[in-house]
This record gives sequence, structure tokens and C-alpha cells, in this order.
Amino acid sequence: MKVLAIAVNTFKEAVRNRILYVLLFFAVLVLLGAWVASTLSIFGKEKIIRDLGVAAINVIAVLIAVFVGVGQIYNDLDKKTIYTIVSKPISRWQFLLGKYLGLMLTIAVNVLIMTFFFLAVLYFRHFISDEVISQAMGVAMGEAAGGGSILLYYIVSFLKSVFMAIGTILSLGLYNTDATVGIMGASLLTILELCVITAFAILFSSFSSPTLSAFLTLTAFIIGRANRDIYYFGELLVSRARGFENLEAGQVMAFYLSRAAAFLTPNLDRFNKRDLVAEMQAIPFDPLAVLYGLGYAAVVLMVAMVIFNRRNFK
Amino acid sequence: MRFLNVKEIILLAAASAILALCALYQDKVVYHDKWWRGSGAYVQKVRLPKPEVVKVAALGYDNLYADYLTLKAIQQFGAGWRTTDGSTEPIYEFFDLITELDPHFTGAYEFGNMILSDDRGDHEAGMRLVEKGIKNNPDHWKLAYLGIYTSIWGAEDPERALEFLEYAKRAEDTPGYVLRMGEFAKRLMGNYPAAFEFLMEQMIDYLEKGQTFEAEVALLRFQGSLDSWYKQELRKAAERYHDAFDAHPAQIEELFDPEIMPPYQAPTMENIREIFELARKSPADARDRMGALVQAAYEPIVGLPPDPFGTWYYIDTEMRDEFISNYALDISSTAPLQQRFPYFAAAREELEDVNQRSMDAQRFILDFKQKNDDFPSAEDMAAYTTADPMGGHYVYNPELSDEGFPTFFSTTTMRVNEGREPRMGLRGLEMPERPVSIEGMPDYLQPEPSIWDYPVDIEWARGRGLLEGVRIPRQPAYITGGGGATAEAPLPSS
Repeated sequence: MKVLAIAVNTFKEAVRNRILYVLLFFAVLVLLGAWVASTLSIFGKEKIIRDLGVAAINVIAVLIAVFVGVGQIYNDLDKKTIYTIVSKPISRWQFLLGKYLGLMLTIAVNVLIMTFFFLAVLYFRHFISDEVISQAMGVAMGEAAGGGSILLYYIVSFLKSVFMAIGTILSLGLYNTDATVGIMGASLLTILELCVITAFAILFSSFSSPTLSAFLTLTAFIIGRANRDIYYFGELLVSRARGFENLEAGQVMAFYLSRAAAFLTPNLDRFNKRDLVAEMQAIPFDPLAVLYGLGYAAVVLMVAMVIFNRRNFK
Repeated sequence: MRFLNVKEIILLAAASAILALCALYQDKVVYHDKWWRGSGAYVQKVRLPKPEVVKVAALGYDNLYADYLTLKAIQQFGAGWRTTDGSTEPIYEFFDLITELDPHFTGAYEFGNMILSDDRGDHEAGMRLVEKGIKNNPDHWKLAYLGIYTSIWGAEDPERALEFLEYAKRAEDTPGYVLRMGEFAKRLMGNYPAAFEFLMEQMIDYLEKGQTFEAEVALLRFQGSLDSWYKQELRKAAERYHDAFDAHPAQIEELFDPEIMPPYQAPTMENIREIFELARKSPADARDRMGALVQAAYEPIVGLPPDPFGTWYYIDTEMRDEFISNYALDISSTAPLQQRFPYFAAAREELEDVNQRSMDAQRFILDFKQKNDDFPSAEDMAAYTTADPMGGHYVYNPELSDEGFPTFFSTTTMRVNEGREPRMGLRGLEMPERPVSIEGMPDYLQPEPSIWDYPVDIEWARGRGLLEGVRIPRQPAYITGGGGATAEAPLPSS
């Protein structure tokens, strides 16, 4: 209950943060921009919209995690409110966990808002496509709407898009049309990825300033995205030397370092299935990816708890 | 809420003025690229980094970066994409990078092939890109189709087209017309029997699968296939004639000497239609006896081969004379026969020429009128108003436009349209009702009616002595809806 109370409080605090709204506004702008950008293309318009949309949701969510997340603990320390909390019968780990969960709740809600908006854009775009409109206008203008106008058709399409987007979100992506398949799956994977990144944000903010924390969290994000390349760097050394036994001493060290770095840093590639979204494919549920994400986030949080526990607030 | 004070207003006004100056500077100095303004070609000056480097830097947003590069490629292509050294390699690298970032972006392979092959003429690079696309997307038949298309019409390498055909066969939804291009490739290679067998196998395949419509389209394709074959035989005979007399034949009949044109075995449309009918009744049986059916389509061709489109072959004397006076001496004896003896034609092609020439003239008149707001003079049209190959002549009369008539037409076409002239197997401009039609087949795929479909045409041609030695085929039962003599014929045995 204590953890939950802190989480709810963190969530309330986060939604009052102006950065959040700026980022959300920017996200909406980008999602609409995807539609505009696609008109520059002479082929693959659908793909471009979907690519840009899911990437925008992912990028904005990462920025929210970094810029909202890193200030959470620092603010309590800066405003001395931490003293009123730690003086209560509440463990430091509970405080940290509460902060993390509150932050994750904020991020998840934001990702879902962006996803909802993107789904609504895709549904609406589908409804007003030439083929669908030409099929439907006969009904909308003639029978159902009693000779209504095209404006009425647009309003009906807009409302339908909103309801269908809600349906897709509530069904966790099980309800879809061809226009939106895979989008919800990509968003859920983004939330999973953010579990790891937010854990890093909490870890770094447990011992450093917000600026440094933001820098370190972004670095962790970049390393996580390049994880596979770090692993392949070692492989490349071996293949260039035509066998492990031909490696020089320095290269052997580089090989083991790359291996160690690859296994110790998070592999965020596991949560990147955005290419499937572009191909209009559903994203299959991967329980191992879920376990990996949650497990890795738990490890980072545990380290954060140890550091935070040993920290002197004076 | 507090309103702005004077100082703040001055500050904002100053900021706006500086911003306006910046915009002016951008407009006049920075945005100076001519290609961007549409007045010059885009010249690519920098090579892109290697895909493996970009992939690392893309941080998982590979698709997004591929999209960005694609949009950039489209703009560059619109501005006449060129490279500093004139080579196409940087353009290939551009698309190589896009497709490394997003290997399943099939549109990028198609667009890249179009730029490299169709626009820049580097068919090899175009095919390389398509091949990469096929390897990454083996189920996307359009890429294999592009490969076949580029090989045949771009690189003129039908053997390569057959390699792409193998890819096309592996994809699940490949349409029949793509597979039939294999027949065309074999024909181009001069292997007419193989092309014939290929098409026959396809036709029976379709019948076996119950795809009658596709089978009928395949049946129509035999016409073009046999036309190439027969014309090639005529060219071979012309070569023998040339070797014997050191001259080109004046009339096609001069080739019918057994020494010049010995009888040869080739399929005929009549036999193929019979086989089609029989195979339609029992496709499985036809599949089992494929070899025998192929053999049954053959018969000895003596003298004038039967034009599979229903008219007759002749030597286009005008073309022959022009060829002899202008080109004959320049063409090596090792050049393909169709370059050395290009003057064989079928009667049906004449009306096509008439129609084409009329369309060219109409286009010229339209362009002229748009530019000058007036009709061209009779002198301007002199090149078009010649005798037409059907014995009529071309008429140009701008005054007719006031009455809603075409300003340019051929008297032959007019006579055909008015029903005063036989159609020569074609429908002319106004498309009279078809005497033949295949149920369920779209209009543009319906077989062109041949001279044999109009008794009046046959009489017309016979009266002019044009059907000497030409065997009049029977009406195919599948077209006439019964009554064909071939429907009950026994299945040829092996």
C-alpha cells in the first residue's frame, strides 16, 4: 500500500509537469506530420505513415522517461521533501519502487494516449480513402443520411475512428482493421522497453544530478540499441583474424570486452518489432521478451535500491 | 495575466525584424540550389556511408531512416538525379542503403530499378537491385516480374529473364501473364519450339486448375508466338533466296520453291485450338499426354504459312525498297535475320499502321494548336498526308473541326468504319460489334476478330486473289458456341 501511495503521488506529480505536455503536443504534431510526409512519396505511403508514427511514439516515450524521470528523486532532495518521507515508517526501497511504478504509470498512459491518437488518425485516413468513401458515400449521402453532405460523412468517420481506436486499445490490439494491425503491439513493446530505460533513469537519479542522469540514461539507451552491434564487433574481430586462435592479445581483450558489454547491457533490440508494423503484420506475443524486460528492469532497480539505501541525504 | 509593456513589445518587434531578415537571407542566398527550384538537375556530390555504419547509427529507427532516404530519392529523381562522375554507382548505393535499412521495402527496389534501368539505362545495376529484393522478399512476385521485364526489354538478355522466371515460379501469387513472359523470352532466344511447349504446358496447367479464363488468354498468346516463328521461317527462306540470287525477293511467292523454302514442321493455330478443346474436356488426360499433344499441334507447312491472326503474309515492298537503298549494305551478314530481312508483314498490320499514323497526326495537330492557338497549315501537315498502305489516302481538313469531325483521317479507316471496306481482321476506330467473344473475359483481352470471322471479308480478299494458297480455317467451337467441327475430333495418340 505504501508503494502504491507513492506511485499514485508520483503519477500526480508527473502529470503536472509541463515538459510532459510539451512532449505530448509534439507527438501529436509528428503523428499528423506523418500523414503530410507520406504525401511526398509516390509509393509506400502507408508504410511511411506507420513507420513515422510508431517511431514517434517510441522516441517521445523515451524522452518522457528521460526528462520527467531523472528529476523525480532530485526534486525531493532539492526541496527537502525527502526528509518528511524517510522519517515515516517507509523503507527507502519502497520509496524508490513507488517512484518507479508511478513513473511507469505516467509513461504507459502517455504511450496509450499517443497510440490512441495514431490509431484514430489511421482509421480516419482509411475511412476517407477514395475507395472506401466512394463505396460509403452512396449510403451516407443517399439512404442513411437522407441526402446528407460530405461533411456529415467526415463527422461520422471521425466519430467512428475515435470509437474504433478505443476498441483497439481496450482489446490490447486484438481488435484491428488492416489499417492498424501491429500498432498496439508495437506500443506495448515500447512500454516494455521503457520499463528498462526508466529503471536506468531511477538508478542514475538516485546518485547524480538531473543533467548527468539524463546524459547517462540516454547513453544507456544508445548502448542498449547498439547491443547487437557490440556483440557482432567481437564476432567481426574473430572473422577478420580468420579464427579466434589468430587474435592478438589486445584483440582477445577487445573480444571479451565486447562479449561482456553485450551480455551486461540491455538488449533493447528485443523490443523493436517496428519493421513488422511497416509490413502490416501483427506482432507475435513473445513471453521471453517480456520476462527479459521485466527481469532486467528489476536488476537495475535492485542496484538503484542498494545505492539509494546507502546514500547520505545530509 | 499581464499585458506586454512597451519595452517587451519593442523587444519582440526587434526579434521579428531580425527573423524576417534571416528569412530573406535564406531565400536569396541559402536556398540557391537550382534543382530544388526546379531549374536544374540535382547532382549528388557525396557518397553515402556504408550500410553497416548507418545501421549502427540509426539506433533501431532503421525503417524511419529508410523512409527519409526514400523521400529524398524521390525528390532527387524529380530533379533529374545526376552524379559528379556520371556513373550510376552512387545511385545504386543510395538504394542499397535504403534496402539494407529496410530489406522488406519492396517499393524501394521497384523505384530504384526504375531509376537505374529505365531512366539511367544501367540495366545491370537495376537487375542487381531487383535480385537483392527477390532474395529478401521471395514471395513478392512483382520484383521477379521487374527482373524479367528489365532483362528482356532493357538488357535484351532473355537468358537472364529465364533466371528471374524461376524466382517468379516460386512466389505463390504470381499472375499468369508474368509466367507467360517465359515463353516470350524463349521466343526471343530463337527457341520457338521451347516457347511453344512452354505455353502449351501453361495452358494445360490452367485448364487442370479450372482457370479457364487464364487458359483462354494463354491460347491467344499462341498467335503472337506462332507469328514470330512463321516470320522467322520466311526470313530464313529470304536468306536462302539471297544466297542463291544475290537479290531480295520481289514477291513472297518467289520463296515458295522447295529449294528455297523446304517444308518444315510447325504448330498451327487450328491444331492448337483443337487441342485446347480436347484438353478442356479432360485436363488430367491432357496432362498425361502432354508430349503427344505437343506433337499433334505440328504439321508440315508448305509454302505460305497461315497467319495465326487470320490474315496473310506478304512482302512490304515499300519497306523492302527503303531497306535496300538505305540500310542493306550496312548490316553485317552475322546480324540477326530480322535485321537483315525486315520486310515481312501481315495484312492485319497495315490497318494498325493506318491507325497509328492517324493518331500521330492528331497528336501533332493538338500540340500545334496548343502552342499557336491555330490549326497547322496544309504545308505543315505535308509529311502526314501521303498515300496510306491500304490503298487510300490521308485527309487533313481543319474546317471539319467545326462540324465535330476529326480534322485528320485516312479514307481507308473511314471506309472501314462505315462498313464499306473489309476490316482486315481489325475493328477500326469505332469498334463494330464483335462477331466473337469469350464469356467473362474483359474487353481488352477479347480476341481480335480475324478476316475469317467475316464471310464478306473472305470474299473480298478472295476476289482480289489474296487467298491463293491460303487454307481457310474452320471456326473454333469455343468461340462460336457450338457447331465447330473440331470439338468431337479424337484425342491425338502418342
